Amino acid sequence: MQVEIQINNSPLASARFVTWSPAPCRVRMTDASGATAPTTMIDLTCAAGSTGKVRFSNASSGPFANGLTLPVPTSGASVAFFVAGKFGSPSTALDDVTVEAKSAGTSVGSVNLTVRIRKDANTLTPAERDRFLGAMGTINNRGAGRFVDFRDMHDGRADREMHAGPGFLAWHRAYLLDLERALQVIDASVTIPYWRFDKPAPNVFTADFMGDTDPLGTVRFSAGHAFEFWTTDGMMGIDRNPRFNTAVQGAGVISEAATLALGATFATFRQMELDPHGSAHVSFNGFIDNPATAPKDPLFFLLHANVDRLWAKWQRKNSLFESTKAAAFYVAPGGNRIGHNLGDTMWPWNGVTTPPRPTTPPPGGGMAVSPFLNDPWIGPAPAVENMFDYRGTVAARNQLGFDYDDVQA
Amino acid sequence: MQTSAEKAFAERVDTARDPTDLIELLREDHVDYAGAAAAGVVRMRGWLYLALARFGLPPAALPYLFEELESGHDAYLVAAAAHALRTVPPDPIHAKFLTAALRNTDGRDQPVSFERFGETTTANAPTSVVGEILSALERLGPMARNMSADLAQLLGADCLLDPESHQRLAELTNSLRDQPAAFCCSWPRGAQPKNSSVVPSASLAAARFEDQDGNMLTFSQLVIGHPTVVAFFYTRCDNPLKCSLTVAKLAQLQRQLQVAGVGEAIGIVVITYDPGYDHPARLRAYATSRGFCPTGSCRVVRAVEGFDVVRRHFSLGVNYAGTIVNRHKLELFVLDRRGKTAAAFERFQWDTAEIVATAQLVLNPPRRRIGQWLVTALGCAASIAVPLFPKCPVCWATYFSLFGALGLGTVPYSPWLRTLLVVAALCNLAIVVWRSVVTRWMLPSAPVVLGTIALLSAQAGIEFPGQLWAGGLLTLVGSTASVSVRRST
Amino acid sequence: MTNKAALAIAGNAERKAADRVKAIESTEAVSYEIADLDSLAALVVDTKAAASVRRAALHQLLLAQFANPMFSKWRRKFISALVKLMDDPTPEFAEAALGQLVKLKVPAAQTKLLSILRSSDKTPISAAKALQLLRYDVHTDAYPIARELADDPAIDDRTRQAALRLLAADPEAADLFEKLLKSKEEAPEVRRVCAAALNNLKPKAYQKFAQASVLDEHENNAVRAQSLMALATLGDSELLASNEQLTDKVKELRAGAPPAVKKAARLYLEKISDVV
Repeated sequence: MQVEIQINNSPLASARFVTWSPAPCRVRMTDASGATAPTTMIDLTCAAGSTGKVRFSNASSGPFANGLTLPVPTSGASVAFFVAGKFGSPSTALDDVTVEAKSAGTSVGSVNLTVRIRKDANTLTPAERDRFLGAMGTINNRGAGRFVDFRDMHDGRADREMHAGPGFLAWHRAYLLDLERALQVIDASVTIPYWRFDKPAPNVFTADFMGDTDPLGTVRFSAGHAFEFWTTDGMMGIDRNPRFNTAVQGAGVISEAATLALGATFATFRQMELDPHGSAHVSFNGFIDNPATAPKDPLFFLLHANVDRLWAKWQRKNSLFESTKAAAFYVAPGGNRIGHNLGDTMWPWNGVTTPPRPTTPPPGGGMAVSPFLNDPWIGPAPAVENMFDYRGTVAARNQLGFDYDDVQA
Repeated sequence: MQTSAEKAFAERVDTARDPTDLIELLREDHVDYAGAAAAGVVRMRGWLYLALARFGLPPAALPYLFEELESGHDAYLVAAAAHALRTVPPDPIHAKFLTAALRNTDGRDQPVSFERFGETTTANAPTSVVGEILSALERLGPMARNMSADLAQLLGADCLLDPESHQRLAELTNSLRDQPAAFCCSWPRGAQPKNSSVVPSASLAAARFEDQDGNMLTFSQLVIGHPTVVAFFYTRCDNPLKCSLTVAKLAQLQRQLQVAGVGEAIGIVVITYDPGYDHPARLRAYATSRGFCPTGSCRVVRAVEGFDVVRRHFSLGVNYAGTIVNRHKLELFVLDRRGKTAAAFERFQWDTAEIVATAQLVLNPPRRRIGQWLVTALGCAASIAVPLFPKCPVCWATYFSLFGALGLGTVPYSPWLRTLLVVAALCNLAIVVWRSVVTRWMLPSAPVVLGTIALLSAQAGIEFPGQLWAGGLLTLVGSTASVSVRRST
Repeated sequence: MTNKAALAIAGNAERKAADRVKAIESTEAVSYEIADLDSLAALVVDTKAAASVRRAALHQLLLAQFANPMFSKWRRKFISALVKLMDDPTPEFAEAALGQLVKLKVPAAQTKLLSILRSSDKTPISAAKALQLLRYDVHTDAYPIARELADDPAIDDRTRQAALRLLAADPEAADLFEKLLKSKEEAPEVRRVCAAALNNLKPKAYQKFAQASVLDEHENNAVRAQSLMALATLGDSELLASNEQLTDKVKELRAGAPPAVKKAARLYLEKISDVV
């Protein structure tokens, strides 16, 4: 007897990724030999030895358990179920979770998957760290790789599309997602880690990770580091001089607790664009302290992953995943400027080149498509509102395929 | 920090007595810019614009200034161009370029100083790039009416003008609101006529290029056999309105050619100005990230041998400090099947539809129209028949005895035919002159005018030796030239 | 306290520096109006004010760049203030101004930095720092002087490396990088900078060197690790997989070599195993 298990309802290996949110799955009998009844009870569990862990349910809501038993027809018809990463047990490597199907104690099928979660950069394993660095180094490709598009997206000319407006958080969430999906084409196990800037991160600012700094402010990497060839705008290297002691201090920003306490409405919470976000940027002297040059430093993406995590945490705390709730967003009297209204598509992914959007060529083309999710926007251009329900809490189809290690479902 | 070459340039500009001495310095490829870093070229050109303004900007300088306004990104140069434009009689077309400049500088205002050569910005700079553009617009007054909607759009919620500039622009747009639309003659944009008499020389044909995939090809292999759009760029261009936009538009062009069904018949070759730096991986990445698909006869290339020949052949508007580009203009060429330049789009932002139309014309040149044949016929008839027309019945009989010998019947003496031929000569003259005005090529008219005068004065009794044959020859040559050389209108 | 009130305290030269700093830090950068930004700029360029006050004001301005909707409208005055500040007698502020101006691509910064490099300007900023900032513009006029400094045996290591990093954008320097990279007399740090520069300018030449350096028994381990990583992340997998001598050597290194080399060797083998 054999069964086939599909994660995200797909037979493809590229679909075998889950977060803390329920992922639709199915199981069906592919070889019914030995079956004596029209259905066979199949037990689904996470195999022992799996580093990451998942939990199961036959519904997308309600309690999830360590195992699930399902009646699976011998006819070959699929039976639906849901899998979600077990909070606190993300994967540390590709396919380190094995979902096993057993019938009467005998294994009849299995599938490997990854609980792929964005993690605290300071606590990554060396292997996770190196995979992230390798993917980033490859996408940079000594200045000739696709990273050029990501650098160009955050250009001074397009500043008003992404800063100093209510769309700031949504735009940067899309930006991170686009880059992350591009990295996952290189290494599917990779997510963008976050730099928890309100706490010391001694493991981040080392020569083996984001680099330490010489007295001139040039970032140094260990021999064989993937960023030894990092080039942007034809300039080799990274300039970054911290204004704080990275080994024992956090950046000069307000604490996470203070950030989450900025207010229960988006109107007040969005002040976080200034502090901690802006403060984190200017806690260094270098590329990262000016909006026009900030994304030249790969640390930028770890900084913004934390900004996004704080938004995610705030959303969860206040149950504000629905963009249409008044408290979830801010609309100025008379409306927000273009790019900062819920229904506005976001530059550059919308490809618009007529005023008042930037008239220079939008870099990078449309938003990267998930290989297994039905991205909740039509075509390649996400709108501001598409970035809110990243977990699919309001509607499962809104899922964007990422989660944070310390933001519970 | 100024070099001695810059100082010499400034002195030359400051001591020029005639603006025509300075016009040649506007060319990007002028030898005075060779070896100067980009910042030096900015200082030099800005000072030049200001100097030309002191003379009252000559018309020949206008295209350069318009280009600066439309596509420039150096605050000092854009400001100097706007400043210089205030010294010419106002024209509605100025508003178009000034509005483009204002849009380009939105959110990027910068203080500028024109006080001393070499000082582009100072701490107490009296003006700014936005300030200069607004001053130029204000000077136009009602002549800016045609751009009032575009200007008003700049005042919207996204406006990044400082309060003072915002106020100025608001006042300007208010003042334009009730003005009648100004007649705006179109600036000669689009395809510039290019003398296509030059075939690629042997050395150009043999120039070697490496494409985005590392394939090696000669210039001949790239362009001969099919019409080709050739454009220039480089990946380190820091002006997004030039190279980046050019390649993005070439991507659009590529798609439009496909839609028009001529994508396989017309090639696109994009050549880098920076062959030392732009290796194949870089070329490919730059092009594809802007939507250009290097495939078939569409390639992105660098010259590995013979770039100087290419540069001379196309008279490229580019210069270098060592191998680093210090300045370049927008330039795109449409070559015919033999590699001759059929049209050039230089200096101004081109429209992809224009390129498609031009390339299609080169691919399928139209047959000569009936009107052209008419001119040829009239010209020939006038030039040959008028001199030979028998002036008297005896001559008439003599001619037709010849025809009788050939078996043709006689035709009675018909002096009205002479009148008809004179009318034909006058019609021919009128048509040739009209064609010259339309194509802006007056050369053919001259011999036709002289020839017609000679022929008609003979009919009027004013005679001199060789008059008829000279008149006929001149008329024939001029008429033939008028219809033989195809020129863009 | 409103921004206006706080900045009034900050602008009061008779108050203690600590109070002025506290007042500045209490302001909300996100809600600055133009007048507030003007006040902060005035403090930054005030050479009579205490450094702590000026530093705090500058910090607030840098913060405002990220979140204040008025900032772009105020840009011209920001640049004017920075242009004034780049002539400041205090190196910290001159350097900060130049750092911002090069990022904003204001040409006056390049001019000033070149003057410093040519010693015709006495602003106390090191040559290394000037070179570092000059490289923000690949069209800089600094290549000739950078070449001189890179060739100068008397120059300190930091300045030399800064010169080499600047030259990494100059195709005419490719031969210099190749020469220095191949020279085992050069310090490994210098060779690694040259490796990155050569990889930028002439990737094929670098890949050829990288393969040779992996096979070279006498190669420095840092350079070797870098070579392996370059081959692993940026090399042509198919081409490398067909080089059996190289593959055998890398396997040997994976088994017994210093940690950095071992790690790079492992990555390399993973990469070519995708092809094989």
